[in-house]
Amino acid sequence: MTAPTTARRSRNQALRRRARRQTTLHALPWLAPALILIGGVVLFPVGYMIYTSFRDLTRFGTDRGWAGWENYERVLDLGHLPRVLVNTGVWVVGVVALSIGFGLVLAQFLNKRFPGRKILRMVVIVPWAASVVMTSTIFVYGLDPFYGIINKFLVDVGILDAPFGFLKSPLPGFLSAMAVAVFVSVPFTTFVLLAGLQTVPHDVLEAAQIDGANRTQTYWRVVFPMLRGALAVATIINVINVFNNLPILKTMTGAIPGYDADTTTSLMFKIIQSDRQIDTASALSVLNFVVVVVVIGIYLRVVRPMRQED
Amino acid sequence: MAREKKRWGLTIVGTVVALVFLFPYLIMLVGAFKPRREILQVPPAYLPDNWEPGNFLTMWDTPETPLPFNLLSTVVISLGGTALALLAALPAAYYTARHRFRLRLPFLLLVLVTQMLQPTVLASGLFREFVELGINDTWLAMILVNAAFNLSFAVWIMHSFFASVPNEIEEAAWLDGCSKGQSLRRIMLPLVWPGIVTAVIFTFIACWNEFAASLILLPTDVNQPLTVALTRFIGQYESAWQYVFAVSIIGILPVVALFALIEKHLVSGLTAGGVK
Amino acid sequence: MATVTFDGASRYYAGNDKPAVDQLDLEVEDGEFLVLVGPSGCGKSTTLRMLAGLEGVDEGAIRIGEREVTNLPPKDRDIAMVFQNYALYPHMTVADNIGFHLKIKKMPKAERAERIQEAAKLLDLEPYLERKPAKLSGGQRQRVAMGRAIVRRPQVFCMDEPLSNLDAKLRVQTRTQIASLQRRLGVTTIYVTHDQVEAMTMGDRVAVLKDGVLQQCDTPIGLFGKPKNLFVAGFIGSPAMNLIPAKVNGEGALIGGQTIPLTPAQRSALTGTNVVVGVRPEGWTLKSDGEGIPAMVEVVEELGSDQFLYCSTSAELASVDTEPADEAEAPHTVTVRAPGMSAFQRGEKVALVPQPGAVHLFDAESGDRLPD
Repeated sequence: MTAPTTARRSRNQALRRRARRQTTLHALPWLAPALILIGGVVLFPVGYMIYTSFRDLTRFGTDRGWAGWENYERVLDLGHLPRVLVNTGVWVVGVVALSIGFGLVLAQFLNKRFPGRKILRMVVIVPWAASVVMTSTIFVYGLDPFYGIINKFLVDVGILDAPFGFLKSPLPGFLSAMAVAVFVSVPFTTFVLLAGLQTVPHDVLEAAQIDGANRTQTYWRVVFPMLRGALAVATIINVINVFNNLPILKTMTGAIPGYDADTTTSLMFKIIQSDRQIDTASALSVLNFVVVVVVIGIYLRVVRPMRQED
Repeated sequence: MAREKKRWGLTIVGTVVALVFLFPYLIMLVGAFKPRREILQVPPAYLPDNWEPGNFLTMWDTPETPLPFNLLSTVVISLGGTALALLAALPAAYYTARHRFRLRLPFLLLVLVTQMLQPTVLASGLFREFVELGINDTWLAMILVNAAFNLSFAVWIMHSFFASVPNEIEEAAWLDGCSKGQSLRRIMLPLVWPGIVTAVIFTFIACWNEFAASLILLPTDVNQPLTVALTRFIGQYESAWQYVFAVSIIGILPVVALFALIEKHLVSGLTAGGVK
Repeated sequence: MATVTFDGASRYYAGNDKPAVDQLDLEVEDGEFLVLVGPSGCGKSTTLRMLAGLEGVDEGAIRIGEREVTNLPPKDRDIAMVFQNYALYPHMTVADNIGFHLKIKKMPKAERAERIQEAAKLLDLEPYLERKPAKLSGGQRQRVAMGRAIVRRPQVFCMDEPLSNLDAKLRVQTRTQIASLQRRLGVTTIYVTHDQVEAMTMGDRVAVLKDGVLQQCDTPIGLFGKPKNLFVAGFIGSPAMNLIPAKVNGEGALIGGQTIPLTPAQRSALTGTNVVVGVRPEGWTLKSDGEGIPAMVEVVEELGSDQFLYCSTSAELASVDTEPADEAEAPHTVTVRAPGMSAFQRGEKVALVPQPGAVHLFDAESGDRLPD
C-alpha cells in the first residue's frame, strides 16, 4: 500500500540485477560442455575455413601468406563451374521436390489403417537408418551393365532391351544418383509429413464431410493447408541434407572422369582429395556455407522452430 | 465385410511399397552370399548357385583393407562420439528445460543452427584445425566431430523430455529429503529414460554412418571406419562386391533394428518442435 | 511440531518491478492451521515456497521453531508439501510414493512398511498400495499426496491449493477431511488457496495477501467482522460486501439519501472528506416500503436456504463521483440477502436500510478501516 520511496526502488533494482546475474552465472557450468564443443568443433572451423580461403597454401599445407581474393577467383575461373552450378540446382530442386511428392503420397498411405501398417512403417525406415554409402554401393553394383542385377531385372521385365551403362557417362549417372538420393530422402520426408497429418484433428475432417466436401476437396482444402508447417520443415531440412550430400555422388559418379556429374559439394571434395588445394577448397566451402546460412535463415523465419519455447 | 476387403487391398499395395524399399537390401543380402566368381559373372544370376557364407570370414583378411581395424574404428568412434555428445547434451538439456535465463533462447538457437550445419560444408576448416592441433588422422578427431554435430538432436530430444516432467515432481523429491543429485538419479532419470535412450541410439547411428568427414580427416587405412573402408573393395577394374555386401550387412542390420526402437521420437527431435 | 516465523521476508523475481513477497512478517503458532489467501499473483504460493525452500529468500529470515532455515535446502527443513497437481512420482507405486521420504532417510524396511500401512489406513488407500498413480482417480491421487505428507510426521505441512483439481462435491468433502486430519495430527500447517470459502472454513487464522503485501491476518470471524481495509472487505465474503463511496458532511456519510453517523474517533482518523461505506448482503433490513434507500429488485437468485436480491437504486447511491473505469461495478446495484424462499419478485420495489452494527467504514483515500 505504501508507495515505494526512491531508496527502496533502487534497492529493488539492485536485488533484481543480482538475481539476473546469478541465473546467468549458474547456467554456465551446465552449458559449458556443449558450448565448448560447439565453439571448438563448429564455430572455430567456420572461422578457420574463412581465414584459410584468403591464404595461399601449398599442397602440403604450408602457409605462404595472404592471398587476397585469389582463391575465390580460382574457383570462379574453373571452366566447369557453370555446369556444376546448374547440376547443383537441378540436384537440390529435383531431389527435394520428388522426395516431397513421394513423401506426401506415402504419408497419406501410412496414415490409413490396414493390416501390416506397423511393419510397413518399419520397412520404410530402413533406407533412412542405413548408411547412405552402403545403400549407394548396392546401386553401383546393381546398375553395372555387365554383372548388375538391376540391369538384368530391367531387361527381364522388358523395360530395357539390353543392359545399359547407367553410371558410365555423366548424364545418366547423375540422374541415377538423383534417383538414389530421392530413395534415401523419402523416409525422413514421409515421417515428418505423417507427423503433420496426425496433427489434423479428426473432428475437422468430420466437419468437412458434413459441409459436403468430397475426399479430393477435403484433402486439398482442409488437410493440405494444415500440412504447410510440416511441408516447410521437410523441405528445408531436405534442402540442407541434399545440398550437403557427398556419399551418393562420390560412390555413384565419382569414377566418371571430369566434372559433368558434380555438385558444388562433391567438387569441393575433389579439390581437397585429388588436387590437395585446401585454400581453393576453402573458398568454395565458404560459398557453400553462405548458401547453407541463407537456408538456415529461411528456416528460422518461415518455420519458427522452438516456438513453444517462449 | 466390404470394408474389410478394402483394407486388405491396402495391405497388398503396402506389400509392393515394402518391396520397393527393401529391394536394394535384398540384393545386398543375396550378394553377400555369392562366391567371388559368381558375383562378377556375366550375365548375372538372381540367386547364387553355391551359397558362400565363407565371405563373412575371409573378408577380415584381405589386401584391400584391414577390416578388423575398420570395425574397431567404427565402434570406438561411435561409442566415443555418443558418450561425449551425451555428456555435453545432458546437463544443457536439463538446465534449459528447468530454468529461465536470459541466454536460454540464444543458446537453444545456437544448438539448432549446429544441427543444420554439417561437417561436409566445414570439412576444410575441420581438416586445417585438426592438423594444427596435431590430432588429424586420429579417432579423437572424429569423436569430436561426431559429438559436436549430433549434439543438437540429443539436446532437443532430452530437453523436451525434461520439460515434460512437471517441476513439482522434482520439488517433491527435494522436500522428501533428496539432494539435487539424488533427485536427478532417482526421480528425473527414470522419467526421462526414453529420451536418453533415443538420444543415445540416434547419435550412435549417426556416428556409425558418418562418411564425409572421415573421408577427409582419416587418411590412414587402419583408422578408417567401415563406411570409408567399404569403398576400398570397389576397384577400377575388379571389385570384391561380395565383401562390400557382407560388410554392409554388418553395417546396416544392427542400426536398422536400433532405429526402429526410437522411430516415434525422431521427428520431434529432428525438427525442434517445428512439427507437432 | 513447531512455530513458523516470517521475519521481514522478501522475494524478488528478475524482470519484475515489485517484489513478489514484500517484507512479510508472520507468526504461525505451533499446531495452528494457517491459510494464505489472495487473488492470483498475490504472492501466497511464493510465500509457501519460500518456507519450503523451493524459492530463495532475498531479504529477511524464516524460522521454524528456534531454527533459522532461511538458507537451508528443502531437504533439511523437515517440511512436507502437498502440491496442486499432487506431483506424485509416476514411476513408483502408491506405497513407494508414500514411503519415498522414509526410504531416503534409510528407515528399516519393516518399520517403513508399518508407517505406510498406517497412513494408507488413515486415508482409505490400502487397496491401492501397489498401483501406479496413472491408474488412480483424481481423489485417490489427492489422498496419496496427503499420505506422502503425513507419513513423515514433519514439523510443518505446506499445502498449495491441494483441492483445486477436484470436482466441486469432492472438494467440499475433502476440505473437512483435511481440516479434521490436521487437528488430529496437530502438525503446524500452512495452506494456500485462492478460494475464500476454503480459507474461512478451514483456517484457525487466515492471512490475506495482495501484491506481495500482507493485508490482514486474523481468525475467520475477525476477518469477516472487522476487515482491516477495503481489499479485505471486498475479498472476504460471498457475495461480496457492498462498497459505496460517500461524502462526509456535518452529520455523517451520505448514501442514497440515508445518513450514516460517524464517531468522533472516526472523524479524526479520516484523511479527506470521503469514506467508503461497506454493508454486507446480510447487513440490510428489507422493507416493502417506507423509509430507506428506494430500490428495485433486478435479479433474484434463489439458493433454497438463502435468497440473494440484486437491487438497483433509483436514486444516485454514491454521493461522490466514481471513476468511469469502475462503471461495471458502479455502486448503483446493491446485493441483499433475504431468507430462502422469500416472495420477492423481479421488478418489485423495496426500501433498504443498513442495520446498525453492520456498517463498515473505510477511509476512501487510504482504504483503511476507520476505528469503530
